[in-house]
Parts: sequence; C-alpha cells; structure tokens
Amino acid sequence: MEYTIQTYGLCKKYGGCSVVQNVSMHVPKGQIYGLLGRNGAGKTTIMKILLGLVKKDSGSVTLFNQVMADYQSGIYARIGSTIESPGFYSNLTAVENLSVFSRLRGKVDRNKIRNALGVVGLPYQDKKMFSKYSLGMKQRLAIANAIINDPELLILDEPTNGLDPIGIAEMRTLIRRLSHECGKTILISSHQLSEMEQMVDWIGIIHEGRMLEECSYQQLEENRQHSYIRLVVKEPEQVYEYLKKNLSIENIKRPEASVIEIYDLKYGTLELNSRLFTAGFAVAEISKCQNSLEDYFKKLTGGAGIA
Amino acid sequence: MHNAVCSEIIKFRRNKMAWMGTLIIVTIPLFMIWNRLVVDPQREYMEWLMSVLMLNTLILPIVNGFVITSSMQREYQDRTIRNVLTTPVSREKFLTAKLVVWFLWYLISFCLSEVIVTAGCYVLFPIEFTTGNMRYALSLLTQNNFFSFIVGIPIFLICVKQQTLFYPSMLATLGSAVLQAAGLQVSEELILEACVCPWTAVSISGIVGFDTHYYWVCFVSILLCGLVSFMGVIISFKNQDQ
Repeated sequence: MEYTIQTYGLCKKYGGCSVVQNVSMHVPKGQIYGLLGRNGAGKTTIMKILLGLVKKDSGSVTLFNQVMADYQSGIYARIGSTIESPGFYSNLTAVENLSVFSRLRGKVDRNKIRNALGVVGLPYQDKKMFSKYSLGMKQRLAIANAIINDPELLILDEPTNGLDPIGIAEMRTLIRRLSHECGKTILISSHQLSEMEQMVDWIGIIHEGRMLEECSYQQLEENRQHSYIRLVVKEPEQVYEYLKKNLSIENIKRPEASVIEIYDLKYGTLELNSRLFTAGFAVAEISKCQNSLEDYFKKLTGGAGIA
Repeated sequence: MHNAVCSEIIKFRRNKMAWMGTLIIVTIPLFMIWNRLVVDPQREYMEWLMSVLMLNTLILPIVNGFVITSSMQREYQDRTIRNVLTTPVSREKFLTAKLVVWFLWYLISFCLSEVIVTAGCYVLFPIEFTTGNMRYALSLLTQNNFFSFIVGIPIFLICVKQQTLFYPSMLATLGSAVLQAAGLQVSEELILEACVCPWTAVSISGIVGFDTHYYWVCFVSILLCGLVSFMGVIISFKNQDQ
C-alpha cells in the first residue's frame, strides 16, 4: 500500500510534559484517515509537526515518500490545511483574505477564489469583514483556503467545529467527495465519534499522546463487534448464580446492580428468557447489544470516554 | 520573496495603524508650520528646523514601533501566522517581507514629511531657502530618519518574542524614543558612551560632523544594532513553535 504520510516514533514535549509519545502513523494515499482522541490527546500537535509548525523532539516524518529533515516548500505546497480555529485577518473580507494567501503561493487567481468559496457555500461578492463572520462561516473559509490550490493532501483539524447540523452533513459530503471523487488524501482529526464513523476509511485512536490503535475502519468494525446479552432482573444475585451453575455461562459482567451482561453467547435471547422464566426469575428486560465505538474507545483507553 | 512582499503590501494597505502613523508623521511639519505662522512668527530658520528635528526624533520612533507591533502582533493574535507558514512561505522570507514593507511604509511616510518641511521652508523662510540650506536640512532629517528606523529593529525582535502580547514592545518603543531624544542633550564628557549606545547615537550622528570619529562610532553602533537584531528576529522565529 502506498502511504502519503508516515511517521515513526514521533515525540514532542512541552516543558517536561510529553504531548506526543512515540507515535507511528500511516496514512494511505487517497483515503480519509481519522485521528480520533479526546481534547488534549495530541492530535493537533501531530498535525502541526506534519506541517512544520512545531518542531519534533525525535522520530521521523515522511510525506509523499520524502523524509522531512528540513523545511521543504515543494512538499508543503502539495498540502492544504486548517489547524485549530480559523486564522484570518479580521479587517479583511473573505476574498481579500484568500487573495493574501493566494499571493503568497504565487498569482491571485480570481476564478480559483470564486470556485473555492462556491464549494464551501460562501458568497463571492460579500463585503462583510472576517471579524463579522459566524464561527461556521469562518470554518468554511478555512476549508476554502485549504482547497483553493487543489492540494493532494488535506490536513483538517476538527473542521466541523462550530458548524450547524446541516453544515456538518455538507462538510462530510464535501470531504468524502474530495477523497473518493478527486482522489485526495485526507487526514482529519475529531473528538466526535459519530462524525468519524460516517466519514473515515482508516482510523488512528490516540490517547494521552500515544497511538493506541491504527487500522482500517472495516477492521475496527470487526474488532468492536462483541455482542452481548443485556438482562435487567429483579434478583440479580440469584440469576447470576443460576447462569453460572445451572447454565455453565462463564463470561458474565454486572455493570450495575440489577443489570447483567452475558458475553458467552451459547444461548440466544429467546431460549435464555424461557429458561429464566421456567426457573422462576422475573426478567424486566432482555436484549442483544453491540459495543458502540465509544465503548470500544473506552476499552482501549482504559475507561476514559471521548468527551 | 516577491510574492511574500506583495502579500504583505495587501495587508499593510488595510492596516489602520499604518495610516494613522503616516498621518501623525505628516502632521509634525504641518504643526510646526502652523506654529511658526500663528504662535511664534519671530522664530528663526535654524531654530525652527531644530524643533522639527526634535519632534521627529521623539515621534517617529514611537509611531514606527506601534506600526510594527500592530502588524506582527496581529499575525499571532489572529493566528494567521499558521496559515501564512503553511502556504508555504519560509520563515526567513516572511520576516524579510515584513521588514521590507515596514521600511517602505516608513520611507513613504518620512518622504511626505520632508516634502512638507521643504514647502514650509519655502513659505516661511524665503531668504534662507537656498540649495545649500535645503540640502543640509533634508540630509539631516533623512539620515536621522534612516538611523531611527535601523535602531527600531530591536522592537521587531521584541514583537516576535512577545507573540500575542503588545506592552513589552510598546514600552521598548517609548524607551527607544526617550533615548533618541536624550541623545540631543548629551554633554561633551559623555559623548563617546552616547555614541556607543545605538539609540542616543542616532541624534548624535546628526550633530557631529562626518569627518569625526564620533560619527563613525555612531554609524557602526547603529548598523550593528540593526543587523544583530534582525538576526535575532530570524533565529528567534525559527525556533518558535506555532
């Protein structure tokens, strides 16, 4: 498989605090790679290291099969990015802001500016200053700036922050389209699991600066599909004993007082319900459940949730 | 480099602080003309010229410091610096473009001011308005303004170091202006020490002749101050995480 981004043993400390610890990451070409982690997990720092905004302490970064030892403008010119909150000149309009950054890249192409604004749904003939923009509009402008030069790689740090639900859905469609139709490689970070589930092809789960898991989304789906039967009963102690002794079920958990979770699926819900009923136990609720991505995330991080 | 300069010009055109600065710089000679016409009609040519120089020495560094502070601090505060650096533009080019455009603004502003001084001389002192006198007046003002800009480069370094803050560079700007003005009052015993200090050297270089060694001490001191500061700006910025 060809990778657009590869990192090996990436480390970064701020003061005495390690924010990125030995992170190895592989972003396949033409795919959407989601970097998932809580706030402060190190997602933004990794992205900043990739973009040369932050110096790494150790490790290596390979972009487009070139090891990034020093500043290489040719490589960075192939990347579009938005990092943290959108950074634009508050006293300039959207077009003026995009003109400033286009001028830095070379020529100011009005058509490119018009197209980029059109893609993100911002008006071209708008005299409104950036300071008057809503957070959603600012976010859209940041995306416009990232895609204006038709880059091969997009690095988007929480691009849906501040967008309304329709805006989020539109952004999701746009990101998918950019990857699947235009063949762009996209590295996207988020702490919103539901967002990631609907968008990414590959996922990297990061927690406290460490990469806990990196796999394709398909693989992740298979990993987390641990079904179990959830029981809500009146006499949990007795039921627990009955299940163990009489039905020889081993893998049982009791997350709450009246709740029992059975991971050993030798009996289906119907049969289990029938046996418990016959044994004289009152079952308030019985259902077959599946681990959500959040459950899986918690399992990986040792209990820490995403938010 | 050309692209970075052009982009910086687009930003500078909308920089209110820069426009305000130009207005203040231009107002100094206008104020002095008004003062001679209305308040003190008896004031003589040399006295008037020295007053213009004195005001220039005090106001120009302040305006200059405020303009670079606003230009640089905004990049950090609005976080535009990340977008600029990922455009991608090398850090050296970004800083050099900033310096070039800052200098161009300064050049245009003090040239306008000198045009008004020349016009003022023509109107107020028709007898003294000779080629020799004007050459002296303009070379004095131009040299003073150029040197004042060079010793203002350390403010640029403070701007990079302070990032989103603004008061350290503001304080340094005021300090620099006071030192430059103090240079005009230095006693003969302390003149060598004052020549070594780049900020007082700006004023002293206008008083002492080209052929004296004091002038060259001033010149080297000012030049070194500018060069070392700009190198400091680049090193400091290169080592900065954004």
